[in-house]
Order: sequence, then C-alpha cells, then structure tokens
Amino acid sequence: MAGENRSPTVFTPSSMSELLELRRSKPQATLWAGGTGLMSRYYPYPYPLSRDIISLKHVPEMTRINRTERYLDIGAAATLERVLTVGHHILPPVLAKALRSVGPPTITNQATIGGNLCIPDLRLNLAAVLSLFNVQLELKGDLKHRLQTRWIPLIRLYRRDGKLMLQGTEVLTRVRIYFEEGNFQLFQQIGFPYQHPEEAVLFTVFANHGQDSVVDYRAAATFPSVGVFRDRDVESSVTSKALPLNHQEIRQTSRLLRRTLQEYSTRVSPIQLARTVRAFERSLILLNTKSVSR
Amino acid sequence: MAQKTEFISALHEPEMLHGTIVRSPISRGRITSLDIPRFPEEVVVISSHDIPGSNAVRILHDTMPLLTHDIIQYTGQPILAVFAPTLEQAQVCASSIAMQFDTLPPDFEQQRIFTDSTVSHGDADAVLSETEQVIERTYVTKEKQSSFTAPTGALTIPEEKRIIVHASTQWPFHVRSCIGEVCGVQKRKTVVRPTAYSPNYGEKLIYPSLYGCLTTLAAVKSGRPARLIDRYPALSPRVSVHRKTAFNAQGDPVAEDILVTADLGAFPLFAEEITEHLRAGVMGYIPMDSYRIRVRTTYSSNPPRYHFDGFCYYAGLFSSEAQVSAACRNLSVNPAQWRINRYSSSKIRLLNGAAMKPAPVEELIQRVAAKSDFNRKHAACTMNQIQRGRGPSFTGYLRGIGISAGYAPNGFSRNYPWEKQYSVMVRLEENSRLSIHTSLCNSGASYAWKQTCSEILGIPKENIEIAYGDTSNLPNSGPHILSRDIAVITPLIKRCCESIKSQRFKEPLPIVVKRGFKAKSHEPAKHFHTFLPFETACWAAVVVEVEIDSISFMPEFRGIWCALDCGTLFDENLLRSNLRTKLLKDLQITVGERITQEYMPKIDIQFISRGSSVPLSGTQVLSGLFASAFTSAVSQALNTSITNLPLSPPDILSVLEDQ
Amino acid sequence: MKIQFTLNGRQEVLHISSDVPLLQLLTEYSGISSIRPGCDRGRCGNCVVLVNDLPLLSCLVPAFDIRGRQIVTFERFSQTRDFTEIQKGFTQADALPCSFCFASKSMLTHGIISGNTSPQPEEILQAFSLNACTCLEPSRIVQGVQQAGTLRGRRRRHGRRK
Repeated sequence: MAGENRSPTVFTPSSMSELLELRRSKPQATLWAGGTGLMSRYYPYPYPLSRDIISLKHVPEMTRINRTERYLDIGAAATLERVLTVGHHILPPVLAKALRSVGPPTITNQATIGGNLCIPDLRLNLAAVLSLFNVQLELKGDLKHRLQTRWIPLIRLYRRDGKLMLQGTEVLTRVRIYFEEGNFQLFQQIGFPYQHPEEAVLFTVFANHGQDSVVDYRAAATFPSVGVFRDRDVESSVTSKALPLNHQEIRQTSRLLRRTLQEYSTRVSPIQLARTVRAFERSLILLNTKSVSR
Repeated sequence: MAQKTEFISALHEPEMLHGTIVRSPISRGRITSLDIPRFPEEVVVISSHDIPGSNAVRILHDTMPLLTHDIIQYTGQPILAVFAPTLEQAQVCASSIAMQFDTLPPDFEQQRIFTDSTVSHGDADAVLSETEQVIERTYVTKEKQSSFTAPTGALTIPEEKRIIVHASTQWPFHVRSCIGEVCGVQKRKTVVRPTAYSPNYGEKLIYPSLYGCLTTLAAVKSGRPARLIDRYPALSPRVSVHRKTAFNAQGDPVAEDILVTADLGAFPLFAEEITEHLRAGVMGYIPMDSYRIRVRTTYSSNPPRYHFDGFCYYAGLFSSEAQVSAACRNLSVNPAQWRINRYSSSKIRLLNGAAMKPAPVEELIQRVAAKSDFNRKHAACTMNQIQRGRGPSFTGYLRGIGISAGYAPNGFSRNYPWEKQYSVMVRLEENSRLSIHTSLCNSGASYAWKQTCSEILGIPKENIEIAYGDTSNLPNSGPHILSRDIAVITPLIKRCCESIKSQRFKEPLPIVVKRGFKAKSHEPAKHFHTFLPFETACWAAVVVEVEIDSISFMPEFRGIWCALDCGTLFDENLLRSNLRTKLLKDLQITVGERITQEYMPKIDIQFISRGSSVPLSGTQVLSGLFASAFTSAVSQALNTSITNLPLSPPDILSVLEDQ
Repeated sequence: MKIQFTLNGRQEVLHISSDVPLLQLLTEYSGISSIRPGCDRGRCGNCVVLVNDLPLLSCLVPAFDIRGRQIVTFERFSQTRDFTEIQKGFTQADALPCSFCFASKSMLTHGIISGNTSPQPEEILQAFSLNACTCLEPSRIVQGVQQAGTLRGRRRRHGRRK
C-alpha cells in the first residue's frame, strides 16, 4: 500500500526488560499508552512525531493493578476505567471524581493513568489530586549507562514550569497510591483543560477536621498549560485553625493564596488566578459548613 | 426513484480516487514556486492550469477563484487538489509538495469597502445632538464557526455519456452550473444527486460546488470516480452594529443613527442579500421621524464568509433588541412591559414607519413572560443587584433575566429574476399514490409537505412520498437557505395540490402539476417604505435566565422560554425538537462551545398560530432573539452592558474586575 | 504494516500505515458507511464503534492498536437483539435520535447498560457528554437509556430464570 513507506514502526514489547532495551536503543521513539491525547492533538496525520512508536500495552507489569492493605499499585498503562473498576470502594472519593472527570467511558476505556500524567506539555486532571496523597512513582530506565529503578514522589515528576523531569530514557512504569482517610475531599474541574488550557483550573482539596479545628489541610491546583501548584504556606495557614473560620481569616488566607500564585508563575492567566482563589474560598466555606453540621 | 439518500462519506465506488486540497498557509502574498514531486501514475494533481473553463465559482453576481496559482488572498485558499487511490496516499503526496511565497502583510482591519448603502429620513444628527437622553452602543457578533456538521464533499463518477456527481449540497443546480462553467461539461451531461447534509451550518451552500468541480476535473483527467470530503471550517461574517438612539422624556425613541459593518472576507458573496437582511434586522419596531441606517460590507484577508443562519439577520435583530433592553435598564423600566406598550399596536411599524401586517407580538411576550415568571424574577434580580453587599467574593449571586421579541424573515429579500426558474412538481398516480418532486428533497420539511398534500387531497400520508432523484429528473427548486423549504416550497406544493384537486376525477391519471415562483418585479422590493419585506415572517418572544457561576465565571442557564407564531402547525413535537436543536447550537456558539450535554438547560417552547396560513420557520428568529435575551440577562446579572458575542469567562471576569 | 483484526465477525487483514485512525481505516478501506464523523478530533463523539464490546471513539484509536481485537460497527450492531432493545427503549421514551447520531448514541447506550441496567441520570449524561449532537434534550436521553436498561434487565432476568 502506498502509505506504507511512511508507516511508523510500532514496537510492542511484551516484557519490561524488552521495553527498557527498546527505550535505550530508540530514545527518540514515542511512548504510546492509550493514545487519546496523541490522537486528538496531532490529527490530521501524518503526525509530526518520530517514526518509531513503542506501545506499552503489552507489557504485563504496565497494565497490572495490585491492591494491598496499605496501597494501590497501578501499572502506568492501565486504563482509567480499569482503575475505577478495581479501585471501586477503596479509591479516595476525590481521586475517583478526578478520574471520572477525564471524560466519558469512550475516553476512560482507552486513556491511561501514565498518559494522563506524562503528556509532555499539558498537565491534566490527575496531577494535582495525586500530589495531595502519598503517591510514589516507579521510574525505570537507563541512568548513567545502567538500568535503574527509582521511586519518586509525584511532585518531583514535574519541574516548576510544569515540564516533565524524567531523566535519560526513563519510563514511568507504576503509580503507587497509599490509602489515607480524609473527612473533607473536594475536586473541581473548572473550565475545559483540553479545549481551553489557558483558562482551565483543576482544583482539589484533601483535609481532615474535627468539630473545632482543621487537623490537616492540603490543596493543589493544576493549570494545564503551566503546571501543578501546591504551597505549604497556604496549607499551614489553614491547618490548626479553629472552625468555623471567620470572614477575616478566609480573606487573609485567600490573599495569601493570590500572592503565592502570582509569585508561582506569570503564566497563570487572570481567569485561572480568579478561579483558583474563588474555588479555594468556597472550599473553606464548605469546610465551615461541614464542621458545623457535624 | 424514491430512496433514502446517504451521507457523502458513505458512498464508495470501485477504483475511486480520494482527494485532498492543498491550501495556502499564508493569508496574503504571491506564490513564487510550486515544486510538485514526480508522483506515481495513479496520483492526479489538479491545478488551475487543468481548468478548461472559467477558474471561478460564480454565485449570483459574485465570483470566487477555484484554485490559485499566483495571488494568495486568504489563509486556506485552495492551490491544488491531489487525488490518489487512498486518502492516506493523497495526504502524503500533498504534504510532499513544496511551496514558496512572497508574503505581504495581511489586511484584517475591515478597511476596504465592498458595498456601502444608506437609507435616511429627517435630520438624525440634529435630533441626537439636541436630545439629552442618548444611548450609544456597539454590538459585535464575532465570527461563528461551524462545528459538528455532516461531512461536506462530492463524488464524481464518469460514465460514457454523462457524469454523475453526488454532492452534500443545499443547492444541487448550483453544483451543476458550476461544473458546466468550470469544467466545460455540458449541463445536460451533468447529473447532480444531492446526498444527506444535515446537520449543517450553511456551509453546504457553496463548498460542495467547489468540491464538485474538483472531483469532476479529477474524474475527467483520470477516467476514474473521484471523491473529495473536506472539513475546511465555514465562518460567518463578523458584524459590528453601532447604534446611537435618542429618547424623549417619556422614554420613547425619537431618532437613531445606525452604522452596520460586516466583514465578508477575501471574496464577498451574497453581499446584496446580507445588506438587505442586516438592514431589516437593525430596523426595530418603533417608527421615528429621523433616522439614518448605513450598511457597509467590507473585504479583508479573512477567508470568504458564508451564508450562516440567515445572511446575518440575527446580528441585526440582536442589536435592535439589545439596544431596547439597554434603554429599559437606563430608564429603570420593566423591559417586557415597555415592549408590550410599544409593540402592541394592531399594526406594528418599522423604524422607517413602514406598516407591517398585524403581529401577535403582545400575546407572545405575555405568554413567555407568564411562563417564565419574568416580572417577578426581573424585579428580584434588580433588587439583588442593588443590595449585593460586601462580604466575601463568593457570597451573593449574579443572576439576571432578559427578554426579547421580534420577527425574522423567511425567503429572499426581493424577487430576483432568476427565481422564475425555480419550481416544484406534484404527481398523482393510480391507487391514490402521490409523489412530491423538488430538488430540496433532503429537507427536513418533508413532514409539512406530506401533511399539506394529505389535508388537501385526502390521501393518507403513507401514500405520499418524496421523490429522491437528481438534477435530470427533479425540478430546480433553488437553494435550501433562508427557510425557503418551509416558507416558499410548502405554499407551492399547496398550489400544486389545489390544482390536482380541481383536476382529480376529471382528468386521466397520472396528473402532474408543476408550479413555479412568480417574480413580480426585477426591481428590489421597496419594502422600507411600503410593506413587510421577504416572503413571510415568523414572530417570537424569548426569555433567558442566567446565573454567573461565581467560581468558573461561566453563565449557567437557569431556563430558556420561547413563544413563537409558526403559522400553520403540522407536527408540533417535531418542530419543537428542531427548534430546540437549533437553540442549543446557538447557545453553544454564544458561550464559545462551553456547554456539554450534562449542562444543557431545559427549553420551554410554546406555539401560537395566528399570523399566517402557511407554515413559518422559527429557526432564524430564535438566533437573534436568544442572543439579545441572553446578553440582557447577563447585563442585568453583571450590572453592565454586554454587547459582544460570544461571551467567554475571561470577558465576564474583566467586567467584574472593572467594577 | 499488516493489521489483522475482526470486523463485524469477519477476519480482516489490511496492509496500512500503522497510525491511521480506526475511523479512516473503517470508512476508507473497509467500506463501513455507518460512521458519521462530525469533527475528526475526538470532540463530536459521533464515530463510536465497539472495540472488544467497549464503546470507543474510532478517531482516537490508531490502526496498530486494533490488532487481534474485535471491532463492531453499527452495520452489525443494528442487527443484534441488544440494538433492538435500545431502539425499543428510545421509542417507548419518545426519544428517537436523528439519523446522523443514531448509530453513536445507540452504541453509547449499549456501553452504559451492558454494565448497569439501572443507570443514574448523572452517569448517563456523563457518558453522553462528548456526544455533541443536540437533537435530543438531555432528559429525553436519560429516559431513553433508562428504558433501554429496563428492557435489558428484564431480558437478563428472564434468561437467568430459564
């Protein structure tokens, strides 16, 4: 067939060692998990991609999901729908909501957790929410001419400017999520990350509170075209506070958030800034309401 | 002959070539070199040099080049068409063609005037300068882009003595005449078969003619069937309406100065009709002694703009009704009551004083206001606006409700001489079988046609069929635009049936009756001074209630209520469904496609039937009225004047920050 | 690249570029006419096919990814009892989609009620969120899917009793 002379070569490794070997010998090859991101952004083909594709789906470790008492181990090429099915009842509600927000089953049947985290120039629905948990990522690859495996916390996957921080020919192979209990969880997709990445915000909160005070408060936001934002100062300004928070306190912390966001990156657009601040304020109001209702 | 038509993408022929268009990546300049590699024999490249006839597609008085080999006037201008046995091969070949250009700075500023016409009466400037209460606004309707439409394309099959062209066209006979002029193929040897083309945004009026020419050139050159399906986006013109209105102490408008500018892109098409529709749209319904309406169409380095929802009438209507709402806000009066007081005379008059047929506008406003509880909600939103206190930024709500009322025309603005050739045919055969013959056989109005025939002739609807055919055996019924299928074709079919009724049982079967349009005059109708323009008009009133989400800054629709006078009603449920579909599309365009299935609002649609004995199309009127009711609602919610559409969350944020 | 897969129960072998979207593969090479794409970019949601019985957007699936998989298009699906049930459910709910999106909406419905015959409105609308055709009001879609789910559930219970 006439088109065959430009057909990218697709490699389908069936074991991890084969995958890593291919990755080493073809460092320019495109890693292909679900492909929803790649297909929707580079069409109409011919794609401006390298001519070699490494498909990750046939490596058993890449699609396996393991559940222990303490954590959930998810192969990076496991589809989001499978994560939702296997993790039913055990996934933190906020994470389940974030997974659902990626799209309808026509997308989640195909999209993968690794793909969602590793699209080179776009941070999507899962990055912020996973950054709130104790999430460890397994990376395998060629480091200093040796095949190595290392575990890193999710936040170290990205540089401050949102770019991926994989070294050499590393591949994200596993995502390990440690279970945690939180009595206040919130995930909000504001806008459309794919169509309007400069406007959208994915805001998430994971907190624990008693009747009188906030015991633990974590919040993060993803700005799709910028990166993942989480700030300990903002979090600690809420943690240990007595509940309900008064207007003054809410204003103060929200001002702090605004300032921190402005310092974080100039690429955060005014609409993203406003949306994040509003979502943050609302989360505090909800926290107040919930504590009172307890 | 009766058979259901397919979409163009579903048609395949053995040995068929697939085509793709090589388009200009620059918006203005000149091609300095075009390097076409040596392709395999089966690949066919069509350039302007392969065109035996005229290298232009003609639409009424305007023309547009089919392919260019020299001057580039807009981004996306077709340069070559490449056909190959597979689409993939065609795309790969097309991408290997090297082009070089001398680029010139593009002109996007709408400075070059194409047409400019003014109608005026009295001394508007003098009245405006003497009056204290003057409202001045510029309403801008930005380009709307077609999205989610049925495939657009053409397939040409060369036969020994003729060529068959399947095209997803709203105007089959235009495809045929273009092929004749461009490809030099005699009309009688060209047969155009319309394929299914809904949903569409009007882009299938012109594009299929272009594609039909290209596939015919490829088919003639290669001797093989050739198909081309393209998704080049169709854009509507950007329309800006500057209105300056003077009001007297009683709140009545007394003078108005209106300047309308529509950018029609590199090759203006239908400029005359767009001018007429815009002028009619900006008219408003309160006569004034002094007015000036200037309508300018301009050309620029933008791609040609196309017929899109009624030749821009919606943009004019939007500005008229939004200006009324802005006036009501300034005067602190209830906009529903203000309209009832002024629109409710038995004979509505246009701004220029022209009398219009009695319109049920008062009843429509009352119905829609009652159903939506407009008066109470409007008062509550106004109170909320006043009382919105300090406190954290998330407290208080930003809610508003807007109303609008008006009409939209069906059909062309005048009787064009070429309309004389348009006709329909109805044929009664044995066993009371009736067939309707029109080149608009794919129209969704077929239910109305069947019902009309059934009622007049007493024939069950199951015995009536729409004849699916082609240009060789269907009468030329003109383009499927401006709701002509409902407002123009239905009365013609009615006339055919009445004639058959008078001949039935007297004449032998089959009885065949053909009826055509009667062009009354070759001159433009003097509708600005005498009578309601266009064939017919559909009146409606719309209420929209929105709340601005305090976190996302997106307008959330709390409800949409519509009341329409659609004349004779045939299938109320089907009509309601069609109107709702149209409204939801408008809604997505209005907010920049930010509404998905999960967040679509409920739409309440009521009908009255007073104004006309023929069916009327309500799709156009809803576009303009929805836009103005929506902006009025958002304006109330934000306590400002919203004048630009579409409206995005950053726009809303910047309004709030300015406050 | 040689791509071997099952299309509507029939073995197919194509020599084709590995990254051609399944949508194009089906419409251009396999003569499938039921797919009516409205965008080519995963936005209109109108090119749904069943891949191993899961509804997917064919414009987002590359050719190399379907090797060894079962593809079912509306041509085949419309002849199944699953479809008859869906059609009946939508008809009973007075919610027939337009001819342009009918195929995709049917297969989306199949995807929902295969897993859960009593889906909640949110679940239904979420599944339809990428289907851009507005021919049906959301509430009608919900009623249609729920009715189809009821029929499917009834059949399953009946089958089990037997």
